[in-house]
Amino acid sequence: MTALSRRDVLKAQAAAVAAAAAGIAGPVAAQTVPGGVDTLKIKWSKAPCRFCGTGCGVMVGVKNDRVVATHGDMQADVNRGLNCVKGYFLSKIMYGEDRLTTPLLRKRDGAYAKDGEFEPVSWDEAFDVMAEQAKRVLREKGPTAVGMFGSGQWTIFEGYAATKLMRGGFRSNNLDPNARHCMASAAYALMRTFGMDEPMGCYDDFEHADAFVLWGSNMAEMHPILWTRLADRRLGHPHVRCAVLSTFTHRSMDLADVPIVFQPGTDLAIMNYIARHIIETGRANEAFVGTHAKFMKGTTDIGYGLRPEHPLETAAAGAATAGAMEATDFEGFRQLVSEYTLERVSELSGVEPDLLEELAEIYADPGKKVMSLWTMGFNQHVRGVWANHMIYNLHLLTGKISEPGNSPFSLTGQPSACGTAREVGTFAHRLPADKVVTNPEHRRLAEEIWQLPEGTIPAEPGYHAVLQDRMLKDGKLNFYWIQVNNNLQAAPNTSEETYPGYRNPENFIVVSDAYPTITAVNADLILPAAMWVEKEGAYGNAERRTHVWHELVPAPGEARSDLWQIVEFSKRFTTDEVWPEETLAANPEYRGRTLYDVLFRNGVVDRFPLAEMDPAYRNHEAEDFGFYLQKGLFEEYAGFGRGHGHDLAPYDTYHEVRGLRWPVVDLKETRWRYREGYDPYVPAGAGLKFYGQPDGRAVILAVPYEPPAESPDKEYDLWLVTGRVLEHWHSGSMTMRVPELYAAFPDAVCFMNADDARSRGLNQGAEVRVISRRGEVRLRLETRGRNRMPKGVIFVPWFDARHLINKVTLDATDPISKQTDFKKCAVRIALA
Amino acid sequence: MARDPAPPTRRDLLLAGTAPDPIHISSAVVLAKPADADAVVGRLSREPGIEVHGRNGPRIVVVMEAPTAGKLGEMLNRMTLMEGVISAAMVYEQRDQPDGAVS
Repeated sequence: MTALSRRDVLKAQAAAVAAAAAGIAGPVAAQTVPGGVDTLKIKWSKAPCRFCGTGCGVMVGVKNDRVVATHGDMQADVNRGLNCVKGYFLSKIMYGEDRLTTPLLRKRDGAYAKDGEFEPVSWDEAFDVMAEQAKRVLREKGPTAVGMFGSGQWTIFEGYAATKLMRGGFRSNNLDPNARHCMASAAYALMRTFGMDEPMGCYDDFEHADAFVLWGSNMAEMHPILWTRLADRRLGHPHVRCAVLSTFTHRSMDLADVPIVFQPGTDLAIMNYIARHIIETGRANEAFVGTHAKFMKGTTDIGYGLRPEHPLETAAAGAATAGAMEATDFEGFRQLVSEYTLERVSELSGVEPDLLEELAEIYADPGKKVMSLWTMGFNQHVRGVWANHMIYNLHLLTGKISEPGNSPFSLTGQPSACGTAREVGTFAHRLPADKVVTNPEHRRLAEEIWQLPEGTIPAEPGYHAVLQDRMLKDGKLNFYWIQVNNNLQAAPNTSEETYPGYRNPENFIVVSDAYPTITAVNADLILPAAMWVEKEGAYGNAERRTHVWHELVPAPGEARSDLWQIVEFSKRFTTDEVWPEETLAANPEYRGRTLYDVLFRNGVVDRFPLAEMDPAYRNHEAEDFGFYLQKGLFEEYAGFGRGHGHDLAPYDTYHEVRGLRWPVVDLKETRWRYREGYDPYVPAGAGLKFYGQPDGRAVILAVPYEPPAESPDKEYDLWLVTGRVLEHWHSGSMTMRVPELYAAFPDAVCFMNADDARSRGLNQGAEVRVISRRGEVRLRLETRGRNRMPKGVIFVPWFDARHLINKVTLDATDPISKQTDFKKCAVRIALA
Repeated sequence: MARDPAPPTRRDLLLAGTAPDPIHISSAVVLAKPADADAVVGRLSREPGIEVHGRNGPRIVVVMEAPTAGKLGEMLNRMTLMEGVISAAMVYEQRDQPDGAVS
């Protein structure tokens, strides 16, 4: 073929696929490549996208061991052939020029030195030094001084292997995922409300709802494929309405019938007003509430999760019992929300009364099916758990829940925030399938499944993300392994609270990554990681969908998957080195065995031979260890949830399908939990049952509006809100390496209201200093961009390591979920 | 309103049969606000490297051509941020290598 005709063929093919995805039949869709795509000699395989939590299916085209093409998977229910812009970068993110391909250790005069320079070393040397450091710390200070920080981008196997190694091997609960920064508030509120984590509904709700309410979420830029589904519903059905709430005007407002810009933190008051409106207008669904809900009252004045000696913490009367709830009744709830009158809330939030009423009616109208959607706006909130509770309050009060179109739906930002961080249980207090370390029965179950001596798993929750940073700085956490995330950039108040811990001479910091992020270059040992389709993997998306993929290309150089790293590292420890003598004396059969033998060669994880793998695909981990490691880990892990409402299908099934939403019983997935006819766990005749709660009743929680940890004052007179931009995903460690994306949005900017700028004598494009009580950063001023700021509020994205806004943010967290509030602190602006 | 593939450009003719630079071909579905859909088709048609290949109400099928996949991404972002556009989703992407083999 000539270049010209080839190009035409390719274009025809591209147009045909897009036309099919757009539902267009006819001449365009009829065009196909002569002979089909097979003639192009590309091997196509399925995988989920490795970016956000939506979980889109992609078809990955491989030729000569390299990913050369991708397209949206037409067979994937989630995205039906579409991909957002990040889809273009899936085939590029693995091929950045500065990809790490060999372990790097800080050395001087041939030996490890904290103040040395990075030198390439073998895996053997890397693990020798790393094991020596871990053993030193365990010997000197015990298990509470070792820790690991993982990710919602870990595969399910990686998170599961990590939790086994940390809790069952090193006997430490100091394991937390970066998902703590992302949706811990959502997870806590689901556990507290329903007794089970993760949404009851699914993405099918997009095609059934009569109204959508976006609480703080900018789906148009952050979840574009789900936004397309929402927009299709809105535009295709004239009765459908869309309300968008935010602290500034962004792209998602373009589709808003009810656009609402509110003062930071006052979403709490708005939701209590809506609850009041529902009750006072007689639209509370009393039959539903009487059968399926119960009223509780939360502790108030709960502080801000700062260091305990901080004046805000010592002054907070409820800080010590922040998570406590006590029973109340409908009248008690009604009384609390009765204070949130339209007039008062309009004044507090800065929102016109008409808009508030219109919003309240969406929930109150019994004829309207409502889907509520949120992400970081609710979760990164010093009252994030309350905010999540309050949205469930509205859906429970009206009975609008657990059925097609009636759906309070927590979106997620990472591909396996649900599958790995939450379902596997890599939080400092959790075990697989919603179990917790504080419950002796749960620990016993985990010890039984893991075949470990009773008492191996410690009962005390470990350090959560922000506390890990504080403990590193204070010298109480001394061996620290970070995988699949860029915490030095992502953590709040990073100059004061995070960076010092990494360079504390008492600490040994290991970072596994594909690229030299700022976290990696501030470590003592860097381990090169395989990424995405360079390994077999499994993710779980926001709608409970478990999705598995094969290894499709080899990792470059000496790069190895995080799973391989964890399992291989476990070979360097024997039980005698890490377990107490009394445990070994009572269980002598464990003496002298390696953690590898105990945790991974336990007769269960290693029970599937290599012959069970699909011969069409490589699997470097399995080939190295000599058994089908991923399948063994998955099947052992699935034992936690099968028969308990978290059922997963047999592992091999997932290689055949585009994911399945758990619970999967008799190979059938569950789209709406707690609803008879959809959820096999609901007994016949019950109609609906919140079976995660022993009494079958979900919690409606009475809690007030409380102000943010820090609000603007005379000296620091502006709100700072941080977040993302369309071009860059999270800390930019992948997207900043795509030249065109970098060129399109090279540096973080400070979005500001034009009048605010004028009144300070600042011009569009000026270099300004954004200053808080913690630190400052220099940025260009943007008054005309796609984000239109109200007076008094600035927005700065956090993808840019060179202009790092997290030097400015405050390390305040929700006191219950310990999730950081990156959305609200006080700053001032000066000309640079 | 499907239309025929664009006629060969001067560049196509000059490069036909020689070893051209690698090109990346992609297609996307653009969702416009219904009232703005005609205007969006016009705007898209004027963008270099973008061809409108079909339309179903507010859904517009486009094919893009660029020297790199990253450039395609940048073009998709530009479409996403274009006035009257609600969303732009990529469907297909492929690289055409200069050695004559499609890969």
